[in-house]
Amino acid sequence: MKESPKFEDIVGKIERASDEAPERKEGAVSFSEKWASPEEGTEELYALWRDYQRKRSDLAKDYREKRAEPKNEKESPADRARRIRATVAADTKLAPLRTAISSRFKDDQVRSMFENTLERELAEEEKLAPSYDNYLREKQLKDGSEERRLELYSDIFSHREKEADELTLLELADLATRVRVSERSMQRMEREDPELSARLSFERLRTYREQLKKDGFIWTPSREKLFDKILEHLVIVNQNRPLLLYGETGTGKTRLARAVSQRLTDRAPFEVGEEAKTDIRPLLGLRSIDKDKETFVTYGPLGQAVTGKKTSRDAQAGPGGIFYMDEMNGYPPEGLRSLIKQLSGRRAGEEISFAAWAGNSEKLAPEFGFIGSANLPSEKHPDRAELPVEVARELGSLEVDYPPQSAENPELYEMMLAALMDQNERIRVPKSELPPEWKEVVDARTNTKHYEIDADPKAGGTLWRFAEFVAAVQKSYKGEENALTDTLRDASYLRHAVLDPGLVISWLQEYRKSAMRTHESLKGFLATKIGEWGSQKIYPEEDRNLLKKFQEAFQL
Amino acid sequence: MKRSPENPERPPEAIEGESPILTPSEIGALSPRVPHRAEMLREAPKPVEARILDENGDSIAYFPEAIGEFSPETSIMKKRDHTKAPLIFKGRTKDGKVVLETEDGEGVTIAPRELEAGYERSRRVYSERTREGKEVKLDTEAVLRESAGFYAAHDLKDFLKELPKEVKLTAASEGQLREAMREGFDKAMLLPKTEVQSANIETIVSETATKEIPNLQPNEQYTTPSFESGTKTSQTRNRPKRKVYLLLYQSSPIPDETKGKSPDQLDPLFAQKKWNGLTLSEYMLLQRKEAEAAKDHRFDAYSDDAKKSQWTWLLDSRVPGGVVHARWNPGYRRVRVGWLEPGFSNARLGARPAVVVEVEV
Repeated sequence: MKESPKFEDIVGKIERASDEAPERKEGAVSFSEKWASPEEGTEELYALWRDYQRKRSDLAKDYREKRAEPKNEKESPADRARRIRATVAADTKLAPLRTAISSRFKDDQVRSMFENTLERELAEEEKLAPSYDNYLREKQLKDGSEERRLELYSDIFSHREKEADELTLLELADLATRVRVSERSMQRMEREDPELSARLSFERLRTYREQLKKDGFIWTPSREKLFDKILEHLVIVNQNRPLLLYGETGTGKTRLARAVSQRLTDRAPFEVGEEAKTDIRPLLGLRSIDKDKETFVTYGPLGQAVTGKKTSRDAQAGPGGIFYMDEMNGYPPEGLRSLIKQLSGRRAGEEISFAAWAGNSEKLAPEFGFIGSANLPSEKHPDRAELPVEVARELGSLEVDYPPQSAENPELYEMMLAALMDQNERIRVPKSELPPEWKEVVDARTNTKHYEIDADPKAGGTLWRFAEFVAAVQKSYKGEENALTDTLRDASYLRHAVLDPGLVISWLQEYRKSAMRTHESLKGFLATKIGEWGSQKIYPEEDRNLLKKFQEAFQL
Repeated sequence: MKRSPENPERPPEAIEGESPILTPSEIGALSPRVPHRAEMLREAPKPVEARILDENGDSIAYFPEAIGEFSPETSIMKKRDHTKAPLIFKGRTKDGKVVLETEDGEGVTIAPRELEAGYERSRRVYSERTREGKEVKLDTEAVLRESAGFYAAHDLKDFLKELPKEVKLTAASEGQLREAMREGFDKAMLLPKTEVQSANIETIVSETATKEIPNLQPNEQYTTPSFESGTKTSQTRNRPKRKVYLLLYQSSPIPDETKGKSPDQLDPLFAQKKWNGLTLSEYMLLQRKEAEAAKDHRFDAYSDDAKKSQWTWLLDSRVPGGVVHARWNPGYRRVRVGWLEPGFSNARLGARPAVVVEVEV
């Protein structure tokens, strides 16, 4: 459990801050004029308090690590800590925050609500401490094993010119077992203790929020599973065999490829720009002539990923990287066929040459990997282009589906909650607007009462219904049975319109940033967004009408 | 949900008693992953007293309550002595004696310790010989246990709820079962009523035709199944209404005599042999069960070689103007379900037969 400050200490500090602050002048603004409600004032105070904590901790670190301090052998560690605390408290950088906090703290209603919230938080932490500590111990073990595993994988990935040795493979297998055992034990703890489960759920949302802010991508369990499969494909099983990500429009193939590259090589992938998909050669490189009429090759994005160089004149080669080819089935089959044939099965360090390089040859860079994506033809979308058979045979393939959304696996809903979380880790939407509705189920045989989620599309808070609505639209687009199939039968399938998770997450971020501050309800905001999106003329009339029916069914 | 009556689009006020500012755990609990603890109800339902007459016509009062693994109305028999007719466990008397019902409907009492040490749930093992002389054995308790295990492993909770505590067959059903066994129907699965199957078709599909099977070769693992429009909502025929049933099937390949025939030709053949066709849900469940057991898709794999092909009509699943068919497509590594006109035939397409036996509940 992380060190939790004592409530008295926090309040004491704020009170001292409040005493230091200049007196409020006669006629100063009272809360009713400044904030719409005491809750809003409290949230503001909370945000300032979090900011104050962050800054104070940064300053303390700064004092400890960077600033020269007079050496005092007699000073005990406790005295030193006390001295640093006092120095930090006196730092003028904190003064504006202290003033802002104290002015809010003088409002009785805001102060009482703030104290109450902190008290509840601390009581919650205290109650949770023993089980959380056990959980953290297990998690530490698991993280250690996982870290080592990723280290080994990255090492194998960047030394693909040689086979991984048996000891390494053995260690990987051992680590995989350790991770599984820890995971099982952690799952059991979580399942058996609802309080612990709630805390972990909060931390998961917090991590999602951070990921979303940093990379615009959330590593939910389904995406983690895909990452594991990609890792296995690129690193262990099929070294340098290109990998195809396939799946419906908007399942997040491109975002996934970018996130994988970031995680595996610490860099964005090499990608095709907005060039027309008529020729593969510019991707590999173009012959250039300098002023002395010397020829050289300027590598395109694929050429750079393969060689780790920008031009054939570069003396030093970098590590190369992942090349990502979107809508692979849109390229001319001939070029694609020859490209994949040349790349497939090549090992790092091997000499490689393409016609576009005009006789020039290079060594295959150690971190090169090829990921493509495609929306392949299906029964519902037979008009899409197939990949040439010879290309398909050479590719490893992985299906990417929409994030799952159900009572048992509410990934999409959790992504939405993360999008609504602000930088202070608060969700400032009334609780009754968010979760699903639980109904009591009494079992007379065991004389117990348990709870189940109400499956009625009209039940639950706006956010839950919205997540269910998006999932129903996606199912409809895929041609799967959905909330309207029972009544509309064959007319319950959308032909062109589908809601991409990236888009709905951006709506919720927009709500958090602006609409929420103007007190627009989540339901009103989403209704407008869905209405605007669903009435676009790019969609056929049948789709537009069906979307309205979905909206009605989920009461949005 | 509470809304302001003047402006329904305004955010609702906080519910009374609910703090407007959520703590971290309250935020975490917004996710349905966080379990809601089951609670013991304060007031236990009062036991209802029931009565049964003993061999002398005297009344025995008892409470129909479970003792250990035995719940009321469970059929039990003496351990290691399956020659005697089973007894029905009824409950316990006020002073703790165990009440049983004999085959003649009379009540008898025994000590709880005797029940625990000397009795077990009754098992019925049927044994028959096929015309070729092969012995076929079917243990209905084992079928119940295996079916329940399969549903539990595949998240089919509604199926589990529907299963009976034991497989009780009427004399007519027993006769039907024995006859089917003589015809070589050597495997069985217990299925809930068809209404429950239809309501869970999406779960069935995702659980049986998308999820990985451990220890199965990568080239045998499922990708996304393909369903022709309308097949998932196809109509089931020839199944008991609102009843659990035993589905008997053969572990052997599809009979050659069904190949190259259209449903119009197969219907009279199946009627004559007292066979049923499969339904879509049954096919989905069986193909998964068999793939898990055999570690490959031999049960339903399509092949260009008509003799080997296990592509099957699902004669008891119909769509308007057509009959559903299904197969494992080894090329695409997926289950493919489509429909064709009842007059259509193909040398590679046969029909897997089944026998439906009603179970008493």
